[in-house]
Amino acid sequence: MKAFEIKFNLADSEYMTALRLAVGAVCAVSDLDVDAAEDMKVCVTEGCLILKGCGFDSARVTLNVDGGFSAEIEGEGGKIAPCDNEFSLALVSALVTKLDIEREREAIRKLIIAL
Amino acid sequence: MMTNDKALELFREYRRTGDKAVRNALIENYMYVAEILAKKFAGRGVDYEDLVQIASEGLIAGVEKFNPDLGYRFTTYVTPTITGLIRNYFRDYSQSVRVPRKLYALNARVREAVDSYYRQNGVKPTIKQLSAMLSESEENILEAMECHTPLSLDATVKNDDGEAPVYDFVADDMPAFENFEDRETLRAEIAKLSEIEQKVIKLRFLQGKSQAEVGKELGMSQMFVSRAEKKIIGKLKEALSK
Repeated sequence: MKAFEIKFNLADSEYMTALRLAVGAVCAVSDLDVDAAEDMKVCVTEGCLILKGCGFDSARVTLNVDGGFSAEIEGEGGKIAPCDNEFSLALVSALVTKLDIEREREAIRKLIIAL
Repeated sequence: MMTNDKALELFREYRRTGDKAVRNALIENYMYVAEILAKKFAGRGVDYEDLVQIASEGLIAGVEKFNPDLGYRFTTYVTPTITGLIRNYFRDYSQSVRVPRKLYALNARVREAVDSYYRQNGVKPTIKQLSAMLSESEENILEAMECHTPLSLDATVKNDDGEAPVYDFVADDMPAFENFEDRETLRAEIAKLSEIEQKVIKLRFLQGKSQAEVGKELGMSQMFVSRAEKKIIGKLKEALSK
């Protein structure tokens, strides 16, 4: 599978811009249209914010470009606890065709999204 | 902000009585949802105020229709509605505005700002400094810097006889007088528009105001301006294609 992987510390909020740029760049080489690329940027950063809210230290973002575009956003490290993500999840759900969630001690640990 | 239980109580009251004051209290309480969602879509070439207007219309429609007894939260219910409206707006808007052109324009502003900063300070500015100087997000600055600069027709290229301007090698399928004719046709077509349509053109395209600002100035909603703009562009396109 062709994949592009990024790992960064969620406390460094300025890296969200770097993440958005990287996601945009991978979308561009995957021939996604401008709106789809922008939607993917919103969803991936929102996913990272959900993980941050759940107490994870860092996020590993894997962008898969084989057979459609999908992203896996997984939390690592930290003191995790469940938190209210209803609004964020509603936003992500409204923008993608597929959203799968994996939990650990009721907190969201991983989001898998596909356009 | 009111509690979820209080909001549900007000939704029930509004459905029972249709009291506009109750509806307005609910809209005010949930305005943050419209603002957050507008922010999520900012930076795509549409003014933030315009996005807030569109999101607010979705919010109002959501408050009107929400059934509090179906067991889910209002934010969960209204988010797809607002997001859908904003995405539809982008779909329609992108037919009349080319985003890459905006990036090219920003690319030129970035280069100008870099040169000016270098002349004044003897060092080149950082992305953060450029962002502050041009009131653009760092992300937009970086994207604009990635845009390949269009080559000027006056730039020279090498050929067998030495150097020649680029325009010597470009097929001339749009003679200059045709541009002039277009301009004249456009001027004549604009004169045929209604007074209000001419005002919209002046404020939007000559003064560069946002749809929300134009609406405010003319005493209309942003959506009205958006529809008028689409209609005007359609009319002008049709006139120019004849």
